[in-house]
Amino acid sequence: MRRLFLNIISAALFYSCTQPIILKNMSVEEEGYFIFGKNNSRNNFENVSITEYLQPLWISETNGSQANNSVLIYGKYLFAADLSGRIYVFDRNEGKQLGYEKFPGAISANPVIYKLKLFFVVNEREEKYSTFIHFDFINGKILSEDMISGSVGNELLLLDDGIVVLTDLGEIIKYNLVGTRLWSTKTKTTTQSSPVSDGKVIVFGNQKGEVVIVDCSDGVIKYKEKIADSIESGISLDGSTIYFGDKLGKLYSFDIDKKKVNWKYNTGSNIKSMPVFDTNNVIVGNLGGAIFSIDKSSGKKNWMVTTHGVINTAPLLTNSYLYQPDLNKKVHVINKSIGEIIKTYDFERRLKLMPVYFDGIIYFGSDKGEIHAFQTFKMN
Amino acid sequence: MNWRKYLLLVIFIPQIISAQYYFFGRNKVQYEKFNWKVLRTEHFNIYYYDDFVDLAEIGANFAEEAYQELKVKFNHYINNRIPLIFYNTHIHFQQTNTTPGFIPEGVGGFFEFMKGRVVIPYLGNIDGFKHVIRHELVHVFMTSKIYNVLTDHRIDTGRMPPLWFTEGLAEYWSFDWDTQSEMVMRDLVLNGNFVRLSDLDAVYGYVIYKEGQKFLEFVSEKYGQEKILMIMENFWRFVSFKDNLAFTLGEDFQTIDNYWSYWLQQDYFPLYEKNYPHFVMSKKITNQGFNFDPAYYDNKGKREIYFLGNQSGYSSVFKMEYDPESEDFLKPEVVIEGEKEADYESFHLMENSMDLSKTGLLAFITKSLGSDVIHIYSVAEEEVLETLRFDELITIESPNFSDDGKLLIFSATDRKGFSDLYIYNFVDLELTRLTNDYYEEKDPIFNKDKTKIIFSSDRTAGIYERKFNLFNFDLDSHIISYLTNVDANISTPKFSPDYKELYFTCDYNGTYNIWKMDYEETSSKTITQLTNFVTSVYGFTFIDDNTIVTSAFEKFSFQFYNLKLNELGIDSAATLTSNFIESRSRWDAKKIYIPSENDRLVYEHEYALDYAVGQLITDPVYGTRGGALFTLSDLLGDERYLFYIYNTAEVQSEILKYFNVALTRISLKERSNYGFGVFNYAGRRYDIRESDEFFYERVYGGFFELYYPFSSFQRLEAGVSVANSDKELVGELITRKSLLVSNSLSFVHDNSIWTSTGPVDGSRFRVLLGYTSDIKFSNVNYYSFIADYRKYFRLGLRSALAVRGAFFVNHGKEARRYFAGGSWDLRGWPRWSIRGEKLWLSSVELRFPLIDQLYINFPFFGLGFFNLRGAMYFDAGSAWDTDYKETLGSVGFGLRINLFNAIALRYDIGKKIEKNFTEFQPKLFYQFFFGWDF
Repeated sequence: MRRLFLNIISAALFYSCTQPIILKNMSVEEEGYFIFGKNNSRNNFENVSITEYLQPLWISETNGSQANNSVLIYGKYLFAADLSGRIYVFDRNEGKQLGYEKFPGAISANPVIYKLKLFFVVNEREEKYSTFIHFDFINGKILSEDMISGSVGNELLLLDDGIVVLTDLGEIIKYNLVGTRLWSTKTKTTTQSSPVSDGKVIVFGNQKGEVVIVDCSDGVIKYKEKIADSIESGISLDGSTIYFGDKLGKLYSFDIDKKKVNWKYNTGSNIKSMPVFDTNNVIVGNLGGAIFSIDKSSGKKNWMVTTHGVINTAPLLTNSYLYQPDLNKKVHVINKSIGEIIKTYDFERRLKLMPVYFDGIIYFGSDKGEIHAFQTFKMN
Repeated sequence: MNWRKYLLLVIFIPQIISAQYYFFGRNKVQYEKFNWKVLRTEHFNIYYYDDFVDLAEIGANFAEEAYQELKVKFNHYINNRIPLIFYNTHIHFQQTNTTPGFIPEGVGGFFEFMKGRVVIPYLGNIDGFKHVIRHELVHVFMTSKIYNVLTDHRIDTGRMPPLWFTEGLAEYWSFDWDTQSEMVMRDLVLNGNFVRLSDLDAVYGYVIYKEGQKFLEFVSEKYGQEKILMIMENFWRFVSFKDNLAFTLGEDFQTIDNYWSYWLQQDYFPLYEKNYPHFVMSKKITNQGFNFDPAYYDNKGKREIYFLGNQSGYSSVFKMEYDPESEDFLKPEVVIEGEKEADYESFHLMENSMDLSKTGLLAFITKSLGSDVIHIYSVAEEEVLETLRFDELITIESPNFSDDGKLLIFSATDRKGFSDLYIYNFVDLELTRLTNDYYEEKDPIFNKDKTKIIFSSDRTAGIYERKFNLFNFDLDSHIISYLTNVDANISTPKFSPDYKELYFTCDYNGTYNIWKMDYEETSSKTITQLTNFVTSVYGFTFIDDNTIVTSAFEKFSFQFYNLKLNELGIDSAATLTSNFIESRSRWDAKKIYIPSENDRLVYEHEYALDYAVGQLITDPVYGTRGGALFTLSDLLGDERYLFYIYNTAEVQSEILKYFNVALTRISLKERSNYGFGVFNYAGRRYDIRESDEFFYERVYGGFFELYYPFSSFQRLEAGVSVANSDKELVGELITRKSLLVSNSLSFVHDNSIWTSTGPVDGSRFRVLLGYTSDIKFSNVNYYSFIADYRKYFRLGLRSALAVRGAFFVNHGKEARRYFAGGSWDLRGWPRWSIRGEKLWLSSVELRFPLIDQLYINFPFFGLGFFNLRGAMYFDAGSAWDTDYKETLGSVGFGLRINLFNAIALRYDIGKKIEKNFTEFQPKLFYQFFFGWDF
């Protein structure tokens, strides 16, 4: 009797301290932003023409900060994972927190959303492994878990037939869409470069400067050659061309079909952030605080602009402007044609998240887990 | 760069703890009144003073360059401006109020965590300045990075990586591996003193800087450079740093440690193929302490070596005589003992700071009050003839006489921070400045006919820019020309006795060895290596044409070695040829560009909170009590405020009655330090001076205190307070009102040297006169007198006989009582049980080391105890009010141990001497307490 009473009290206390994520009455057809970089090519390009003016809508908070990833969107909900092991869900129009789930560790890579399910990896505290979790956010239940050796800081891929996880130790693992491990391949090289995929192959770089191409279906390594210095940037995929940067600051254009470097351009400082591109140009920033626009076909510089800060987060690219977060508590709005900083927004904390545009709103993220929503305005 | 300065950290750490304790302690004297200015750059506020503007702008440029580099290396940005405080010399740096403790000579700068201040002295060399700025900025970035990693993960920020990683990283990311680093690691690995990674957490001092730096080089090479940042980024994941290291590097900790040890051995063991230790090619002639600057003197046929050392515990000038019978040098004797009085406040042991002329004049440099001075000592008359002090020169080094003893050449640093050459003429009593620029000049000597000065300088420009080469300064034309131009650093030039050859030390092969060149052959471009020791030679002196005595580094010690030149037998002597074609006349140091005069401001006090603590206690018996303490100070630490508030009321109606508040202001800006404040204390008291006396007392008033230090060793203290005291004895209807005015005047002396648990050398005393009077009601009226003297007779390096005699008197109406008894004075007697208005104490104690290291390995962890010391003591004393009662005493044995340099634990066993000193107590007493030895 006494034990039952204690259990009831404990349960009541526990329930009153947490708000589990249970989102009823959801459709599997909702639109959103389901994966870091918007798609498996990760270009973070939005085909919209908006002004430089941003109107603050709301600010909300998570418990811990975020790594250099982004928020996710599913219909009217906004998801954000943090480094204190929590996944939050907010009303994306008002910023009201609707619930969160807590796990013992840190979530460094963005979850992916697939048909009312979340897939994500928790880097466990005081353990040498991480846990891949398949989570049902309609019922607030963990559906499956799998133990992974090491950490996962690289962003996940959402393929038609599965989820791809790339660990920091260079092990690439594919799960099916119910969270069962299909195959895994060990490259045995430290890897801090988020992979991309065209649906047939998965491509990523590693700290030996190798570009690695793995078959999506069976995990067989099809190509692995040293192309650059240590690759710590994200990769973006443009048809058969990938763009990435290396530790020496060189931006590479590499053809994954022909297995050859199209061109490379030296930006002069370590590139950590992911290059973004539109029809003609690829844009990347470096840790020295410089942002470069390079002609995709020739590899020649269009323009360069210096921010005096640190650029370690990928920007949002639209038809008109580039929205570039800076660790120096700023967001620079840059005219992407001429490279002029049109406007700079100052924040109270350091900018961490890649901006996400959805339904007329841009979402930024800064230190201490602050999520900022700004209304955009279409150009006349 | 005078790289030897940094090694001092190893030597002086034990003395840091001799900071102010109880009512003794040395003084940190502000000899200078600094006129601070502020230079605002993009990421820094640079604080400098007086004429240091050129080097401050150069330093600001180094800082901004380092910032740009470190933000990339750390993938991190520091958003607030970093305060960077520059001092033009180490002597001024030692006067800083940004840290309360004493700064030893070996500390080249520090990063203070609380306010994020970086405090750096300029040591005469631009490259050294750059190194220290970068080193400290790595600390700033690493601390901020780790803090952010932990807060990002919402983890307690109260931990940091171990010191070996912190300092190793600061070295690894601030400069390239240099001669000094190489020498230290060679010595550690080849002499078996290398500390494994598993034990490095327990080690302090310079070893961790170099081992940490080398370990990170190993990590970069074996596991990849990116792993260093990953170690920091994974810091949140494991409480244990070893677990983090194993996780990040992907191997278990023991394997990493084994590979690291093997990697070092692979690197260093092959050195013995061509290099040799000092004892192989020379004869060791000293064994104790650290010994520098040997200077030979033929004293009417007696062969003597004068030198600087610390064999006696204090840095001093020693003399060592050669005994022809035993063909060895006799035990050194002290000539001038330093660190005991203001004239010889400190010797700069590791700088070139002594010379002996052929006429028997010894020039040695000490810090005396606010600057260095040169003392001229006559060997024949055995006394100091004169002391030279130059107002504009702050530090002095490398004195060298001309052959006739009429001229003295030396290098010195002025208020701009420039390290230049000066000549002092003993006939005209004139000082002449020879150079005036920011290049470092050192080790000057005269040529035979006094027409030229040969010196070492980093003014090398062109292909070997900033290397220390040898230069000629023509005393007629004042033209400076290259004597060497090689890709190495050269220092301490000395002529052979016949002046035909020039000998010097050169680091071309990794450490400083002895090389020579033909000086008379003016077209000579070649220098030749004579020795190939595995570790460095610091300095040397010629005994005769064929004999040299060296000061050399081996087994983390600096000893003298007797070296026969004709026995060196170096098989294939290395030679270097100077390249004068690609030399240039000068190089320029880049300064920060300051766009506007508005960015140079006069410093105005910028106050920030140092410390704040609050407490609230609620219990059913005493109700709710609470209070808070705040301290704040300005950025330079010169002005401080303390605010204290507390309430002990048990019921709401008594809140005003039990209100305690105090506000104090302390000024440390100038030589005279003062403090004043107001207070109101109220509450129930139990006075341990009075037996069984409980009372309620409310005291309010103000006070003023003044401290005037004469030197580091002596000071005058004066204080006055006015306090209204209302006292109500509990349980009795007695009240006592008074308006108390107290005055006191004290003279304090302390030149003691400490080991881990207390002093072992020197003396300490305080004499106090005081008078307390009730000027309104005449309820209180008494005078005070205190005389407390302690003397320490050193018996060995770590053992001493300590004696103490003290007399305390309070005499007059309502005079307060002193108390004694317990581990601090009359051992064996109950603590504070002996009380009286008069009290005397006397102690004699033998202090000695007992166990240096005791390590117990339990199955899951180890427990280490270090420096367990023993004591045998005899105490006597008594206390009384009007009539003398009885003499009390005790004898016994005790154990002491220092924990974390913060507290000493004491355990005593003995017998009390009772019944007016006539008989011992029948049993033993056992007493455990804390506290330092008297």
